[in-house]
Amino acid sequence: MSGRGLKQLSILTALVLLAGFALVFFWVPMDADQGFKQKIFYLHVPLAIVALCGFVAGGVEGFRHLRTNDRSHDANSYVFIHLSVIFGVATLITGMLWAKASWGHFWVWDEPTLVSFLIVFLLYCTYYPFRYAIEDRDRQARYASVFAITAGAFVPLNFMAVRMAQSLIHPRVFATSGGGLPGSMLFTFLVCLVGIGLLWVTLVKLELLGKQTSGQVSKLRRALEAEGFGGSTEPTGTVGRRIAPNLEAQ
Amino acid sequence: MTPSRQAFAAIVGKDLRTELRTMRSLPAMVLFAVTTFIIFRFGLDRTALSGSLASGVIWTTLLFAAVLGINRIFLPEREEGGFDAFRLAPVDRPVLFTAKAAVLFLYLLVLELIVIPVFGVFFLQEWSGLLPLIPVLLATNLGLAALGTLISSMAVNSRARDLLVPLLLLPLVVPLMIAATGATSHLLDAGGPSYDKFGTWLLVLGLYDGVFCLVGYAVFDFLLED
Amino acid sequence: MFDAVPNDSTGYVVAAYVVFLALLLIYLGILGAKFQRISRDISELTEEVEAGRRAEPAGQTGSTEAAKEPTGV
Repeated sequence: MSGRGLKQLSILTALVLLAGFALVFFWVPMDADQGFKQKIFYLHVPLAIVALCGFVAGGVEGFRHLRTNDRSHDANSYVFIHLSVIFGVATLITGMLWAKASWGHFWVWDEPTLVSFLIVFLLYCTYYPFRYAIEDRDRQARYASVFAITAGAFVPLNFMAVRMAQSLIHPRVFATSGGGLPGSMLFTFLVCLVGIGLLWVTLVKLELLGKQTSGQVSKLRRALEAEGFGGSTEPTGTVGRRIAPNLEAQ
Repeated sequence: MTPSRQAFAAIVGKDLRTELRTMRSLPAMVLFAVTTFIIFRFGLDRTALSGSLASGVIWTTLLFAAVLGINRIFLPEREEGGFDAFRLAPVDRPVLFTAKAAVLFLYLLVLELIVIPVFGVFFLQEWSGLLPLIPVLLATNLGLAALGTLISSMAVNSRARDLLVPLLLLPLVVPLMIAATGATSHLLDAGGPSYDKFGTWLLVLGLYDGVFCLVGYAVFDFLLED
Repeated sequence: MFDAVPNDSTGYVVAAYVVFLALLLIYLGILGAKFQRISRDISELTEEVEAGRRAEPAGQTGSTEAAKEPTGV
């Protein structure tokens, strides 16, 4: 994981996102059924999809960590989940705004996907206190990987169960019942999806770079102190964070 | 008998014998459940329950009583160095998982054997729905046992372990509860049991149980490492 | 065609996109602060190294001069 290519990636992400939003507001036709508020979906659904994929990817990295015992997979898992939780917050807020626009309430229990997503989101929020509660670094990483795997397996089951519990009477924007999505909407949606996906990847790389750098800084500081080069200054907090795993060359 | 089966029997036997002697989990679980029923009677201001309301009351109560038991399932191991002893023994690590899950399953079974009739006496006017309830109970117990053992083993070695179990467990058992309450609510309908979507709910329960028994079994090795 | 539909949905749609941008900017701001801290740390460390090098006499005799305890990390 390096900072190489990060600049190009960010530019690409910005371009695709801007293109997507431009399409949403200036090109794609209005939805006959729901009107203007349907445009929230071009933001809300890609955020949800990317967040869920991120959670599952976090589980995959957890699995790889357990298999190889390579700490970098644990760091990946942590960052994937961390960013997906943030994307999850955005998903829930945009979802609530859509609900308010559609039904006048910020929250409705009738939309199964939103309810499922809330449950998954709550589960992954427990990831942080869970990590914090385990003191030993090695064990923390291992348990976190187990959690990531368990939670990753949970995601599809959860969606299935909640879906079954609801009666499908509410508008589903991308459902097949209405005959599917017209081409222009599908295209716009895909552009937004790619844009949000790229955004996730960019932010992940950025955060991993930050971790790597602070890991190197603490390693440097320890090496200097070992040589007797003072230590008159206090570490300013980039070192020794309890929860977040450090990326140090072992 | 293979060493794994011997170990399994030994652990289960030890735990059950200890429980019979010290009675440290089950009485609390039962008392908690019965008291909760009383609170529901007053909180909901009802003397008779049926359908989805009855289903909700039963499963909420059973779930929280289960959490009490799950919190304590690894306590003997932690307090008396059982984990170390187990690591030294020449047995497959996941045997501890299956043994503890079996113990938890049995606790839940005993809990339900006592508590469901009490619920019936307190609230039900129609008891015919209770017999088909049995497969639902068994399937849900299995899921709770597997997941509870997994979460408890992670929580037992951390700070704030009493807090960690409900925190981690509750979101994870939501689909299980959805399926259980979904199946139960039709069984406890006022006019007699109906089997609307019963098979589908059982299927969901079975799928859930299968996935988490497998996951728990597979990752338990890593949890026991020092 | 950007027809502003004369109903109150517009507000919610705009709010949704604004929330998204706000979260993004907040996140980038936090990361930016973190990188600033890191670069401050690096410049501090560089100063320490240079101070140590200047304090060393011309004939290197080893690194036993700094008698300070390393602070706990």
